Amino acid sequence: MTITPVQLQPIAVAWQNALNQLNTLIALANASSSGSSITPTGGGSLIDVAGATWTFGTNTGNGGTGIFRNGAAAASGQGVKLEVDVNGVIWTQNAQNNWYMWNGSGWTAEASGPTI
Amino acid sequence: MITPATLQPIADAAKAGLQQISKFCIAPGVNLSGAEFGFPAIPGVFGVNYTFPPLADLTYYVSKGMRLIRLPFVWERIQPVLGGPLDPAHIAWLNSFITYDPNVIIVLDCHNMGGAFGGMIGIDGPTNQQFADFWALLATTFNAPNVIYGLMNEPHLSSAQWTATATAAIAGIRATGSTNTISIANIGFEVAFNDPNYLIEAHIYFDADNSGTHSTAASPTVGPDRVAHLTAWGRTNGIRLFLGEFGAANNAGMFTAMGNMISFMQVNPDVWMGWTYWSGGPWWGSYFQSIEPTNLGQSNQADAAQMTALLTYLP
Repeated sequence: MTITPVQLQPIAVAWQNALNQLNTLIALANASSSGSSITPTGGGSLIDVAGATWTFGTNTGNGGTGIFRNGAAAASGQGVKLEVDVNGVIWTQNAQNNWYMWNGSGWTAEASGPTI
Repeated sequence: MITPATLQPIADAAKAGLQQISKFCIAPGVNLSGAEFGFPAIPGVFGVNYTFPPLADLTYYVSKGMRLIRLPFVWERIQPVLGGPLDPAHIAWLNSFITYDPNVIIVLDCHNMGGAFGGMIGIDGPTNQQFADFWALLATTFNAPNVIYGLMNEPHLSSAQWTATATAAIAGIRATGSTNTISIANIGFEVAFNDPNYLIEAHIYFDADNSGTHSTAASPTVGPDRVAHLTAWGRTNGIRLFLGEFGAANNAGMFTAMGNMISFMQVNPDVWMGWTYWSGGPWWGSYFQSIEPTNLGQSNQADAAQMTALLTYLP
């Protein structure tokens, strides 16, 4: 009696799902806690669920101060506050009181602030 | 108290375990070239412009743990007259591979790049219906359950044209009663099809322009980077993926990129069903991505460096 790849595939997928949940748990634990925030004047840094480090730079514009991800400008984002949501994702509030969420490669406008 | 540091080794071990089990449920394999050689000599002369990879090739790659074999061929050679019967020599060759072992999956790869008989399919060459009829004939002729129908290699067609052409071919195949898996080339635009058993086939190379013509990898993670969006799309839409081509030059940077590509598939077994390295086959000579052993079948047979690099990822 042999075991077929078809029999193994759902086991691998279940394993994959469990691993993803475990990795998410670890990443969240390593990220800054939900509701953590920084401002340009207060300084400091935040860590998101992807392990990236977020800071403010010194350049300013209409939206606020330039936002940096791992030391590089984060898609030209500017803000007056950076905050971590309940899922470890970074949000920014700009000088016009608008909220934007980091989507992995850029900023997505949101109607309200993050869930923490 | 449970900390991330407590769990990280467990996650690392779980990842390693997943990769091990995925070796068995994500089919590893190789392209075996030869029948598609000789362009633009179409149809060309067998033994001069093109050849058939021998069963000894198949035996070698299966012995390494591979069980997904993609066999490129040319439409005008396997069907010398449009709408006519299939070439007996091609039938015999393909059947010799298909019947070798029912656990070895054979992908029939129409390697015409979207054109045949002097024009592009659906434009100034064969019609979509003629392409569908061709595939219906192939499906009738090669109807063993271990056969996947690879509709077209890298069609140089617009997304709309290729979608229409592939849709016609799917209908032609299904009209025969076939339930075999169909592999449909992804040409950069993620398109879903109305069929219960198909794969979207990606080709990824690791050089800067994704052409597979340069020997330097763009980055260690270039493979996963290039398929990340496709993988997420496949997952969202419940569509399985097949990496029909990738290859590596004989250097550490390329082997790292190749390993990361395969590892990525192995931790995403919900969408990735298999992969075939480009390429093996008897006529590659010094081709920089050839995985063909030297002196196949001889006492001094030796694996290519690419095979040595791949062994880590084979069951």
